[in-house]
Amino acid sequence: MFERNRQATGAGEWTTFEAEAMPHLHGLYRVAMWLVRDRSEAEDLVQETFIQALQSFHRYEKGTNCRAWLVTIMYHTNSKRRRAASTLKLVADVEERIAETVAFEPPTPQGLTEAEVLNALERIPRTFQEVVVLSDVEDMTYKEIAEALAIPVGTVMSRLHRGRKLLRAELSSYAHEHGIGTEAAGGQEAATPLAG
Amino acid sequence: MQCRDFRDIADSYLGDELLVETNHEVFRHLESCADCRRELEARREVRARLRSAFKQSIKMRPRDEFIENLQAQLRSTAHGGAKKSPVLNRRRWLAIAACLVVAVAVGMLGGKFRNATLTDAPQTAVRDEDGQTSAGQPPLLNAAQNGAQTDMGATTLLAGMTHDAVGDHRDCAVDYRLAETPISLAEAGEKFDRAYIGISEAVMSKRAANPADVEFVEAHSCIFNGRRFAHVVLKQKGRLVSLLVTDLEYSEARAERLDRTDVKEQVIACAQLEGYQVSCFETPRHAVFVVSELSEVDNLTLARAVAPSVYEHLTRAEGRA
Repeated sequence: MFERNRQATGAGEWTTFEAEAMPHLHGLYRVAMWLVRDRSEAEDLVQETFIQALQSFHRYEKGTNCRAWLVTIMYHTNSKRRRAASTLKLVADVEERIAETVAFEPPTPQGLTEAEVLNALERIPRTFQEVVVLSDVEDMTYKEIAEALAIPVGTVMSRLHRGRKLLRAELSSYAHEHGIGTEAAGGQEAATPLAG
Repeated sequence: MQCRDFRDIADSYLGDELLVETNHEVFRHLESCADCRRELEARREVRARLRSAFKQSIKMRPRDEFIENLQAQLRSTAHGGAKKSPVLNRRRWLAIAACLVVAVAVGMLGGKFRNATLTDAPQTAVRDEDGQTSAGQPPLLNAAQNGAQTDMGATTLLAGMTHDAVGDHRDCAVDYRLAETPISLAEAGEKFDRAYIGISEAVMSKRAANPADVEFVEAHSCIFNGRRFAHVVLKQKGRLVSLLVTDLEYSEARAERLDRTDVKEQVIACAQLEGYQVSCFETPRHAVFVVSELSEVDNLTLARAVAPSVYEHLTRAEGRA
């Protein structure tokens, strides 16, 4: 079986790969840019991801989410690159403790621009950014995110919950400072703790 | 449902992540609560802005030239062309050059270990020609605790082969970039070692008592750094796991030692290398490695689960040889 799969990489395999995987290039590049924040690094990461995906294409199960499969390969590739560069990431616990301190939620402001939302996202810890991006931008399921990040599904759910909460807190704080969205949010309500 | 409850699950509602019953409760609450309807609309808007920010941003779009080069490279790779990248940037080349320098240095050290692996002589196992413990040796995690069971035979085995086992896992199972095309276990069994035939069945047999979430991915025989392995690729907790079997020169002393020890006790967490966990055990004529990115405990547990059936399969085949 293994031999047959390996030899299948050729014209037919490329056609299938091109149809299944290549449409996700732009999406993968977005995630890569968000991950490494550098065009050259992102290009390297995407290139390496697609080459590995092509070479392991016999392992891809048709009918499953190809983009999630590619994102998983990309996270794996990126973590190996980080390991190789000896950049340790030991801040997750601290970040999660910080997130726990967001006690109450003000109403979400309206009328913010895309840039303002993006800036707010950049201000929350990266552990939470990545799950918010994979879920709310890239439409990946909890299970797909869990596989990509190699963490339990429960952790994805709690990080997502906290990440969205932190994002809203950042947006509210920004809107309050700049007098944005208070009208749409209902003036008095914007400053009032939640009812109910 | 109270407003507080709604706001706690409003994002999950937007993401269509709730159960049908909970969705109905949300509908009912929204019908009677203008504040929560407004809050929901605001969150929907934030999510739309976020998606739009990502998808419209020019900064997050790949360059046309990059797309063209990548497609050309992938097409060439698919048709068996050169795998070297035409779009590698300068930084990457520098990194590769640095890696080559390190690889040559490690290779020079590794040569000493490889010579040491084919004998059970304790004095050659972990010390170099000057009697100094070598820097290139993988850490022996459990050697002290398992002293009686792991003696210098197992230690010797670690010194030279762990690098090859980890290299094979990395290059074959994870990255799929071996220099030499793998062959089937049946073909390798005919040509090189009869014990390779049936090894994947031994790994997946009921007797192996594998954890329930272990999946079989594929099996073949491949070569890394000149060493041939029977390679069974598994998956657990979303991570690839390699079980690698390679030949050992027969040693009477080793056979006697193994006869005295239960196979599960022989399995040790033998190294942590390049971020991979390695567990290993021996038979009189084979070394077996389990390599993965699982935790040390999970990797060792899996190795201990497969050890009895793999050991039985290998020793039976060795008896016939």
